[in-house]
This record gives sequence, structure tokens and C-alpha cells, in this order.
Amino acid sequence: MTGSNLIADVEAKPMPFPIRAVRSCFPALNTGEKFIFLDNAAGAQIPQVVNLTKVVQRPGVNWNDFWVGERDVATVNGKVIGIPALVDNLAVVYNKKLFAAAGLPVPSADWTWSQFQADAKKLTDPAIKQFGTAYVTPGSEDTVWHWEALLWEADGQILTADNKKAAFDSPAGLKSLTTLQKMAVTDKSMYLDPTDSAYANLFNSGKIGMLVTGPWDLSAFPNVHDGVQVMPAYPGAAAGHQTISGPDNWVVFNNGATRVSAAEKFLLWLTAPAQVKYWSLHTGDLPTRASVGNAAGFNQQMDSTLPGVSAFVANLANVKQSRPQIPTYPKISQVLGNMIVSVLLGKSQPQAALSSAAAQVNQILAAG
Amino acid sequence: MTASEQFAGWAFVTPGVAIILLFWAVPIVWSAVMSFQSNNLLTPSTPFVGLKNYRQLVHDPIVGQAIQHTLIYTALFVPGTMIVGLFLAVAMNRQIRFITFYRTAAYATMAISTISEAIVFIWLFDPSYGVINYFLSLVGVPQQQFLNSPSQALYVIVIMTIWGWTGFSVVIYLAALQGVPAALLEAASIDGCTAWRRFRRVTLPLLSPASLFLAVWLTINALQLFDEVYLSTQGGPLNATTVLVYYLYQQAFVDFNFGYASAIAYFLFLVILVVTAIQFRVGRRFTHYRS
Repeated sequence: MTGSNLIADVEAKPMPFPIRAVRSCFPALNTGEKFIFLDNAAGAQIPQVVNLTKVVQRPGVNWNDFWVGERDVATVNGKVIGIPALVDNLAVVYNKKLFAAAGLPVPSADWTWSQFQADAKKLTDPAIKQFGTAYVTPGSEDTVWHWEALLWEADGQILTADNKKAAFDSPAGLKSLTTLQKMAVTDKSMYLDPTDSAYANLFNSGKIGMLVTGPWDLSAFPNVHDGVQVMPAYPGAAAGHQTISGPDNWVVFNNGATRVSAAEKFLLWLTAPAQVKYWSLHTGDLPTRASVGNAAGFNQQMDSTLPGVSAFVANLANVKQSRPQIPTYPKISQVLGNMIVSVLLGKSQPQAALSSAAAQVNQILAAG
Repeated sequence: MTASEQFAGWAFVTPGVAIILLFWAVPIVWSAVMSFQSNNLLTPSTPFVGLKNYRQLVHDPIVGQAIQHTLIYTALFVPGTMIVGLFLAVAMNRQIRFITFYRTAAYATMAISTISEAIVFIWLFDPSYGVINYFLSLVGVPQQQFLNSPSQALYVIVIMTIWGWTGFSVVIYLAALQGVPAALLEAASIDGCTAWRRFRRVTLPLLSPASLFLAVWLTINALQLFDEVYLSTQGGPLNATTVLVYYLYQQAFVDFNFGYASAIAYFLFLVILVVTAIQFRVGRRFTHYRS
């Protein structure tokens, strides 16, 4: 991106690296840093961020070709503040060898959470320190978004539609949290990873049967023969199979009209179908456009770049909702993180944890 | 000194001074200003809010917890590192074979990056796969949760950091031990002192300047604990390892409350200032300098 200091990459979820924050200081200083990482809703507050609403409506852009999960996250308070740059989602990566050894059929596309739980239990063997599944428990956003997908699948919502009140203290919240509690506390089929890093090595060593994770982890499992399946569903729930995505956006900073228009032109070229396809096939990153992902033969080509990734491409269609795009979300996420961890560690019961977290979230929302 | 010498002198120090001003003085002043503002470093509006951030700090329950965790950590880490360091230094203050190798090995813990240290300890203390639980199981102790347990995680971090800093205190104590005059020890022997009394009455008092230095230095570092927490538990589980600097980081770089984070930073600065002043005052009474 030489010659232009207008473009930034704005994250939809809190990045775990301090570099994100260090860099995010720069727009305020106006030093012209090229790339920054920060939360979407926080990023939208920067006055120099250019409103791209009209740009993405230009003929030929085909805004609706971007996945709905991406468009939701690029839009803050009705304003389009970015063009999708990267997209991912969560699915279940499983170890085929361990399934066969346990005499289990591999997960099918119509599987349920009770099947997942039963499989995890069967895959668990304390004698050889083998776990059915794993969950990351630092209490950060990584802890939270895994659960949020379950909440949506159980027909639940994080906040009310106006983002004014907590909505997760509901039957759906209870159902989703209880699913996790059963595996972590009752069955002890879930390896709890407070470091957010050990789980991948353990899966690659054949010690974990199934992981709910994203396409970025696939290349970390060279030692196991793995398969990928969509997240299980809750029978009877209208939501069906869903997942969650943390898309990144290209964002333009206003450093003068000429540069803005050049940056817009460049971004429209960069995010056009031809470039999206080229990028995905060469990097293994999921395609940001549906027309690219759905094109005949594309998935086979993707699998030759990164085996198993085509299931994640197909899973993009299951991204139907996005996290609340509000500046207080990081604070809410911390409350939810502690709620989930307290249940998984057996320190509290799901209903009590939900009620207490909902009260705290309502307080955060009321304070603004 | 001639004017041209003066000029040359300033010319030589200017790059250094400029860097210090830019990366030390400017942030110090800037964060002092920010601590009286509501500032997220994103929007241009940074209203002056007076003492609001400092008042919030007094009423924030997590700040209370973080102070508690920081104090527990400091109270264990500082004496722990000094005692282990002293023990190893005394053990290595003799002419035996391979002594240079042992000394290098002890200092190696300082050379190892915090990331490697954290990764090693994460695996050592892993509840299911860690070797610590394996050894405990051999003597009949049931499986411990360590970093997964709100009541144990902080102590694991204490052990991790004592290991990491031991090399430092070994080197300081070894240097100080070389300065203990053999004549004094010999005189004490002739007067009928046992080895323990010699150590207790002669060596230890002569090491007191080194001990004071270590106590002050390690305390300042302990109050600023961040890396190991960030790398192993991210403040969890359930805030059990949220220490002041980690909370400051969260407020600043996750929640974008730079004003509040600056107030926490200045509060920590005051704590360090007061603790260090007390250490010097109390330490003076127990410190013997040879003239």
C-alpha cells in the first residue's frame, strides 16, 4: 500500500495483541499510519473515518454480494464505514482417526448439540488423557464468541434489538450455557484452556476429538487427519445451524479529497470479485464475496490450497447475525467472559451466572 | 570550558536527550494530562473531568481486587526471589569443578525471553498433561487445576516469575559475596563461631546493601507485573490474576478508557514512590556499609 496513508484495517473483534492498541493511537495523532486494528464501533467514532455508504452503492460494486455477516459489521449506526477485507467463521474440526477408534460415525451436516455432547463423552478417555473437545477460558472475547454462536443457534440474542438491554438471560441463554456446562463439569469431556494456545497443539497431537474453531487453525494441524463439519444445531430451534464471524474491514481515513477518492477507487478494485478470488485461492483466506464462494469448482480449488477449508466457505452462508456494533461491547464481553468461565469451572450454575451477568450488562448499557 | 566545547558536548547528547524527551518525558506529561480527561484517543473531544477518574478508581471493585492481587504477589515474589537467589549464590560461592557453568546456568533464566518462560510453565502446570501434577500424583496428591483455578493461578505466576528473576538475584548476591573479607570470617572462626553463626552474624550483615538494592528493585518490578499474566492467564480465571498493570492495559487498550487508565498509572506511580521511600527509610536501619 505504498504512496497512500489512507487505508486501515478495522477489526470486528478485540484483537488479543497490544500492537492493535498501540497502532490505534495513531489516527488521533494524524501521523498517517497505514494500517490500524481496532474495534469497529470504536473505529466508527473517529471523525476522519470516511462514510462509504454511497461508495458501495455505486454501479458494479454489488454490495449485496458481500456476506450478510460482513455487511452487518461494516455498518455502524446505519453508516457503511468499511469494505470487507477478511472473513472467517467457526465450525467443528474433528479428528477422523479418533472417531474411527471410538467406533463413531463422523459428524453429519444435520447433527445436534446432544450428538456433539455424546460424541465428546465417547471420545474422552482419562487413561490416555484424551478429551472429546476443548474450550478456551481466558475470559476474553475468544471465550465469548464461541458461546455467542450457541446462543444464536438456541434462538437467543445477546442484547435487545435497540441495544438498550441484555437479552441473553433467556431460555436460549440457559440452554446454550447448560450445553457447555454438561461437557465441562458433568462429563469432563472438555479440555479447558486458560492460555488460549495449548488447545491447538493438543488437537494436533491427537489428544482432542473435536474443536470448535476457525479456518485460521487448519494449517496448525499437519499431524492429524481432520474433517470439518458445520456447528451442530438445537432440534426445534428456528435458528438451525448458525455460526459467528469476525470480519475485518478496509477503512478509509480522510486526508484530503484527492486521496479519499484514490483510496476508494483502489479499494473497489481490490475487493472486486476477480481480486477476491485470486487472493483466496493463493492464501486460503475465505472469499469475502458470495459470488466467488458459490462459483462452480471454486471449493475444490480452495481445498487444494488448504484442505478442509471448503467447509468453512460453505459455512459462510450460516453467518446470519453479528455482534452488537456498540462502543461498550468490549466491556460487555468481559462480563460475558467471566460468566462463561465461572460456569465452566463449576464455580456457578448457568441460571445464576446469566442473571448476574445480565444485571451487570444492563448497568454498562445504562451508563453508556 | 570554551563555547565550542559546550556546543560539541550538547551536539553529542542531543540525539539521546531528544529520544528520552520524546519517549519518556512526553508520555509522562501527556498521561498526567489525560488522567484528568475523558479521553479515548479516537474522538477529538477530550473533556476535562477533574478528579472523576481518580474518584472512579476508589469505587471500582476490580481496582480493589487488582491492588490485593498485586500486594499478595509482591509479598511472595520479592522475598521468594531473594531467598532462592541467596541460597544459590552461597552454594555457588566456592571453588568447585564446573562452577562457571553453574553460575552461567543460574543466570540463563534472565536471558530466556518471558514468552518462552511462560510457555514452559504453562505446560509444566497444565492440569491434565503437566509434569507437576504427575509428580504430585506419585505422592498421592489429587489433580490440581493450577492456572484454571481462581485460588491457585496467582501462585503459579509467583513461582513462574521467581524462577525467571532468580538469575538476577544470584548475580547480585554472588558479587556481594565476593566482597565479604575472608579475614572477618576467619576471625569469627577463631573466636569459635559455627558456620551458621558466621553466615548469620558476619556474611548476612555485609550483604545488606545488596539485599536493600534487590528488595527495592524487585518490588518496583513486582508492582508492575504484566508480561507473565498477559501470556498465561490474561487476568483470569475470573479476574484472579488481574493485577494493577494488567487492569490498566485492559482499560486503555481493550476498552479505550485512556483517561481512566492514566489515572490508574499515576496511582501506581504514587504507590511505588511511597513503597520505595519506606523501603529506603526502614532499610537504612538494617543496612551496613563498610567504610
